[in-house]
Amino acid sequence: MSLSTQRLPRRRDDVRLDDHEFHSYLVSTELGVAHELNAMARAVWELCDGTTRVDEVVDAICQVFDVEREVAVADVSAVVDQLAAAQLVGWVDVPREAS
Amino acid sequence: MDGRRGVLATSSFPRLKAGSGTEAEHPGGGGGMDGGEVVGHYDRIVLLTDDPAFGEAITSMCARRGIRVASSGTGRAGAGIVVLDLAHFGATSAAPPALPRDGVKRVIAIGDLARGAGGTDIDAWVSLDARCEELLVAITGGRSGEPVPKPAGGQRGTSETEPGAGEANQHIVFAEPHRLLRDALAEALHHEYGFEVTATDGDVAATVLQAQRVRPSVVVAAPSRDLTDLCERLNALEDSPPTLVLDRDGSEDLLLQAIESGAAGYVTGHGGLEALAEAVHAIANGESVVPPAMLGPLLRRLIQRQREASSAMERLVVLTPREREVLALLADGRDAAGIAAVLFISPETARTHLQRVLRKLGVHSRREAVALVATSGLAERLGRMVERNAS
Repeated sequence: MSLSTQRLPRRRDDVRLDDHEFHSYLVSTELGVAHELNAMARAVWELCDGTTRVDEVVDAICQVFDVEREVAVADVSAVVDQLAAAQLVGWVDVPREAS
Repeated sequence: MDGRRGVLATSSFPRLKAGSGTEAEHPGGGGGMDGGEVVGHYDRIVLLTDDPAFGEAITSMCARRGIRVASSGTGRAGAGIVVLDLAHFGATSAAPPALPRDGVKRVIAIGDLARGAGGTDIDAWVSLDARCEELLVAITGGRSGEPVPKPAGGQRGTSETEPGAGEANQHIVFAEPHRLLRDALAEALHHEYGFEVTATDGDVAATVLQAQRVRPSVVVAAPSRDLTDLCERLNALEDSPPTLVLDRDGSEDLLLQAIESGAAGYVTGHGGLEALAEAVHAIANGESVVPPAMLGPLLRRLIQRQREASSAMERLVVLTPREREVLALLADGRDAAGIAAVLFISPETARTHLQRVLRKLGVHSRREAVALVATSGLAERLGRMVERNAS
């Protein structure tokens, strides 16, 4: 997925987050499936609110972790793509910001 | 970036079993020991706390002195003696809920006397700044003629002890202002997990001095208003050790402060001593550690900060160089007369500039303007803009 300010990921309403002692799961009641998340994927999913851009998530991650920006972009994009492929997030169209 | 960044390291590491060598038999040191035996002439002792790391440290400390204490978040079935961690038990209100006394012979409270005990009758108070021996005296009732048991195997891992020659255990500096917390956790980290621990009372200069002296792999620090100063000074050291903030309470504000101070990680006591030890190892290996459930909210706050800063910058760029100077001086605490004196203009001219600044920023008062600069984190950037104008 390329960085885009026009399409933003948004959590699906029928998906809930279940936190257990050592693992977190996304449970889709509509699809009847559960997906295990690591901590980073869990945080990215929480930020898929239809208003947050991928590049904003990347910037914040780079503030917390000592990671190359290119690596963070690739990892966050991969997580979002996987969430979308698993139908755990959808996409919303937002107006492109004026430059 | 591997997918585990932000997750506590899951690799195994050597955990020394208490009870090895000449140390006293240790029943396990972990929480949830309900059903423990009565030892000697002591009644069943239960520590009520929702801070597992603290609970494990206290039970471990007591066990090394031959006193069995069960640590629990809620259960006190059959307890003859209850030790109540006031700050971390039922702490949803200013004071903990009243504790029924049925079958309980003695209640000992650890914490701030002024906080109150929520109606629970307390038989003995022990401050968080007390020595471990004072807690033990309170637990045992301080029966005359009976010395407080000394820990088996000696008291290692204190600030007075040098690491043993030839040992390759990780060395940490532990900065914690509360003595009971400091001594119990330091002792447990040493005896249970093999760390060499140099403890300080949290004073920045003392902590930095110890870090220079012992060259720890990690500095574990309690959150404080001096955290930023501590992190900056540690980061300025040659072979600067990373800082892990240990917060008993688990606060998003303190997590944000820790990250913005330059700490490499943040943990709470909720995961117990093992999680703390894992975090220390992860930090020492160059990873960053944030509790998984707190990572999303942390990133959200950082994103919000960045958005506010961007919005404030859009307003700042419409100011003239002179107006930025005026705003910078206003944010520095000067009034119109002070601004006029610095800029060699009349007070009336300074007030005119201030009015224009407020109008362009879209705020209604000087206080709002100062708050805008402060909350958007733009004070430093504004200062650089002013410096560039002057050069």
